[in-house]
Amino acid sequence: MTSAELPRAKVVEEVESIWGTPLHPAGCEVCGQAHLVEEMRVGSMCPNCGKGILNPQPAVLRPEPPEMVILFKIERDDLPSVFLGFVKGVWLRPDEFNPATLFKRAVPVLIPMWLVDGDVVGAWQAEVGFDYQVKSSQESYVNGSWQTHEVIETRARWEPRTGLLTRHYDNVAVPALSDHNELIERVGDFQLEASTAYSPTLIVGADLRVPDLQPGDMWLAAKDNLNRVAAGECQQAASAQHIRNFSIDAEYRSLNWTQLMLPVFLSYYKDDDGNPQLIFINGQSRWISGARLASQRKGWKWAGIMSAVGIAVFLFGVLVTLLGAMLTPLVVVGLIFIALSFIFGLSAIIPAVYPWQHNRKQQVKKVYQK
Amino acid sequence: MAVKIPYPPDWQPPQGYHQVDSDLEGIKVFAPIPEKEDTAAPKTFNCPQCGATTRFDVSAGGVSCEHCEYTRHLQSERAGESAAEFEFTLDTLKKAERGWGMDRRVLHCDNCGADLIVSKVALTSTCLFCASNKVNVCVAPSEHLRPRFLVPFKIKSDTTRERAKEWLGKGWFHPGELSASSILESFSGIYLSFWTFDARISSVWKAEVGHEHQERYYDHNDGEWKTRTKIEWRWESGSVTISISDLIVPGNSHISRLILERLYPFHMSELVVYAPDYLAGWQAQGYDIILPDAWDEGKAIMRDNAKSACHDDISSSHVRNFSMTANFGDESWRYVLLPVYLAAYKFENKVYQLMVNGQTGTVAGQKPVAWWKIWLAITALLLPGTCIGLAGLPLLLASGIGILPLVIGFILFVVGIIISANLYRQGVSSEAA
Repeated sequence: MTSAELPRAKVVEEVESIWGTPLHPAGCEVCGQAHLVEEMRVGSMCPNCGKGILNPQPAVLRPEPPEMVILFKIERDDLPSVFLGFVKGVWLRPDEFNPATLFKRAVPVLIPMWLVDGDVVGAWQAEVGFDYQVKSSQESYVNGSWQTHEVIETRARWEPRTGLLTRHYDNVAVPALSDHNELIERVGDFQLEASTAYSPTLIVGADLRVPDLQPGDMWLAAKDNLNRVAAGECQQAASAQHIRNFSIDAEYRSLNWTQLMLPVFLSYYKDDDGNPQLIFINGQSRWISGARLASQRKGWKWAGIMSAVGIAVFLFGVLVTLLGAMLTPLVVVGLIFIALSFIFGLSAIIPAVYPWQHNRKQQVKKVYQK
Repeated sequence: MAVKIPYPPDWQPPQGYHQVDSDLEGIKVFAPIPEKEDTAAPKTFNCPQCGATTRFDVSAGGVSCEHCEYTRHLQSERAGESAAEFEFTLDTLKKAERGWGMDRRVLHCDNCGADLIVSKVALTSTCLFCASNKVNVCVAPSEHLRPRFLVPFKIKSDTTRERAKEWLGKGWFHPGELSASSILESFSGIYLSFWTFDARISSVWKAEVGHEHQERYYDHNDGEWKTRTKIEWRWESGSVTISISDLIVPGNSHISRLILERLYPFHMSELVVYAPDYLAGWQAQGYDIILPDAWDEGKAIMRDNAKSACHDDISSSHVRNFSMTANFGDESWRYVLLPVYLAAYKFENKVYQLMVNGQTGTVAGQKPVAWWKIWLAITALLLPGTCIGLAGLPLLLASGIGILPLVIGFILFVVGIIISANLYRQGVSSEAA
């Protein structure tokens, strides 16, 4: 199949009639990503970047609604506890990095993928692996005699196979967004088999990302995925346990492209520099990820307070020590205060250094919340 | 779900492939056709020119006819040490344990139509009725368990008698008339079955190792400082990996193991791919020691080699509480046929066995011993020490100067005992089978 035969998208300004629910195309001028959102969400912060505003704009869309949707397995009411677990353990957090703010800003977003159906007809060849067991030994020499322990190992015997394939495949998934892999890296994999047929009620309240990769762009990836499924079936047909070096010379017929929507919650907080830090939650598996930053500004503030207290205690200690010239026991009290001031002064280093050290180690962490 | 769409019209499976069962509708699977060798049907060797029986001729390097000088050279496929080896799969071991699965077999002679009853391990036979040579590889319980490689005879049968005569003539303590050719019966060349084993053995050892060191101490009795050697024991451990290639274990139990092992080595670099032509006119015996039993024997040799390697790894000769674990890996085996000439001879109404390595010409066997020569030599060896010792005894009692001859006599006697014991052992071993 050539890209000329692939289904084309068209500019859509009103999607209610085809998607069965009132959705408005809107785009972010900062990240450039287009969404389908409910009317009340137009003019809100872009969930994709947390920097721009979603302004109305026409979207380039396939005319038909999605075929399948993976349902949110996490309720909105569960989000505070998820965020609480995520922020826990970070000291000197930025003001916005708290469960309440994250919850307030959390937006359910549906991420599109292409689903390809089609017939694959062609000749294939591969090496298939058959498991077999071999007997090995471990011999132990203890107290002057040998003891034998049998060890059974499983190995694969590889044999060439070739053949013909005429099979129909349904719902082979292909990315529809240019940042799909980054998103999946953050939220983890989805179990695509758990999807259900699309219904307008299933997407109520969610922002829908509009595909920025069209079928023509993704045909090669779709072909690879179809071949991968075909390879698995050829392995099964050959009664083998493994397959490698699979190649197929095939025609791909009766292709049908539809969409699958993946559930994600997006939220964000702003760091010291005012940059939004995005938090991602997989709506199916509950994986949560994002940068858990500490505030360097807060660190300096606490370091300053502790240093000031230390200086005050030091000066008081010096004063009391001088008074010791008149009443000797006061010298001891003064020295204790001077010692305390040093402890305060040294402790001030901790809040100054902690955010730097914490943020340096901080990667985009995945935290699984049940 | 399968759909009815025609396959690519011009596609053909590659040469040598055939269709096999598929577990999925809509997918056809083609696999290479397995190599099928006609292992059951015996092959008869007759001369295409005169019809006489042909046999493998060592000097001609092919099958030849003694009557009309017809020769067909063999295009031998040299496999060498890289000849295919097999793993110890559970499947093969299970089949190997069943052996050949029959006691006697019937070989049908295509030449005269007679049915020949042969033993289960005989790979060749000569028809009793028309004297035609037949070669057949037994129907093995597994494709792997039939001979795939052999070392062809390199030593001509007419030279074996000379080699044997020369060998029999060696050694002073054998009867002088032993090298007389009349005592030797004719040699028969036979391919015997052997198993060869390869393995990599990774061993980990642990032992208390004693390290010698000198220490100074004050001897109160002598009133002076002296030096003595002390052993300091320390727990040590180490690891050693050795690889063993082509360890040979005989596959026939009724051939003298002692003599057979004196024929080693066989050079596996000269292994060729099995062809019935090599066996034409020669005897050949299949194995009767099954693979698992032979492997147990091979493993025992290998683990002792690994133990020696561990001991070599220890930096001292003082070792106690030694323990080790040997992990076998990459184990493989081959079933090969190796050439041996067998002969028996009678000497003083006693039958002795003789073998010649058909590849290298090494001779080994039983050799009768002239025991009177041995006893005479032993007497001669012990006599000087005894005499000098006996002479020293009265001198010692009389004047105290006999200590020197007594010591010399004792040393000579001990040396005589050691040499005598060695002589006796050689004599016994020479007659043993």
